[in-house]
Amino acid sequence: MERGTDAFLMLSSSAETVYLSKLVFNCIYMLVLAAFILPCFLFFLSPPVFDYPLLVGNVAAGGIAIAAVSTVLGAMVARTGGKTAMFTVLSFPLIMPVLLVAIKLTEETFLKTATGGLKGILFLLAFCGFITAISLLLFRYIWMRD
Amino acid sequence: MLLRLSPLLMVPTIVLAFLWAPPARTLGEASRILYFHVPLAWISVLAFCVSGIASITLLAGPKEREQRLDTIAHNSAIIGIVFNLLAVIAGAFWAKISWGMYWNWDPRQITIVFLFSIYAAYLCLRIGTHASNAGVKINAVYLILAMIVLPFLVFVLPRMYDSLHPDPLINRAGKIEMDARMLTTLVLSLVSHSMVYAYILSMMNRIVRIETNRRADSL
Repeated sequence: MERGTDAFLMLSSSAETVYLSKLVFNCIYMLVLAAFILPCFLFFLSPPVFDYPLLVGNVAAGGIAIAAVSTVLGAMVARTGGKTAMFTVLSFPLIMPVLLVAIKLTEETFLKTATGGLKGILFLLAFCGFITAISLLLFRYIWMRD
Repeated sequence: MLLRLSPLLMVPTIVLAFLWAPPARTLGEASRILYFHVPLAWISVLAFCVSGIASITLLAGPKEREQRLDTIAHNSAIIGIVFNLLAVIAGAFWAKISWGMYWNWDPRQITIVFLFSIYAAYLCLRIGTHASNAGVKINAVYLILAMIVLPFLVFVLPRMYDSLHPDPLINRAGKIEMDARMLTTLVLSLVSHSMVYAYILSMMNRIVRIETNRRADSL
């Protein structure tokens, strides 16, 4: 089934189109997930949040950055012959910088005098932008078979 | 020929580091670790960049050169991992002397370990794609991605949060605030370590080439 879908997409669409559609799907998926989890987090743990816009921005930017990294790595893992355990091994170190910044930013939203909020969001967006641009250029080497 | 002599350059580096360069004012004799810790970290970053650039050339170049560039990229990544580990160990000893603990959760300590784990994951990917035809290209794509993440880990993240590490050599004011003899020793150490890296890389590539030729002859 999967191989059939792959073959059909290779025939009918360019690698860039496939990559962008997978990226958009993953971004929407992460945002929907965050829209469900964030209210649950606020409801059950009642953290003392002082800066709600920063918290929402952080969750959205972090989710999109994770989606950007996992889209290209997911495609690479699919090409390794279905070794799904490989995804965790590959994605964890690349997602760690995003997690580190997002956790620090969440911590800042709990402080009355948050200072580095915008810097953190910018880091997440820049990281996401770089990964997306490079992935878009390189996706055809992963997607197309010799 | 010049590369073969490169390990000899380590001799004056060691002599200058231990006998000529003065100890730093507050850190004392322990500051001599600087002449090995900084070059080790620098070489690991250089090696990772070389593996990334070799991967870009691999993807952009003709198919005949694929195997050769893949070998360079792989060997450079391995050297980078080893130098990265040595930089962490050297840094941990220095941290124990200066800050009282081997591990202090400092942003630079954390990011260099992230870098190590990214390239350790590359080795897993290489093993996983060994049997696949597309393996060479997938490995190359991963190495390029890793090279893109590298500046974020080395230059951006450590500057975003408070660190126990001193300011980089060329600081925000754009001035080099270091004793002239210390700076000379550090520069010499950087050059000698870079040459040792180039020597090791050329030797590793040569070993792979000889093994490949021997395998082809036996077939």
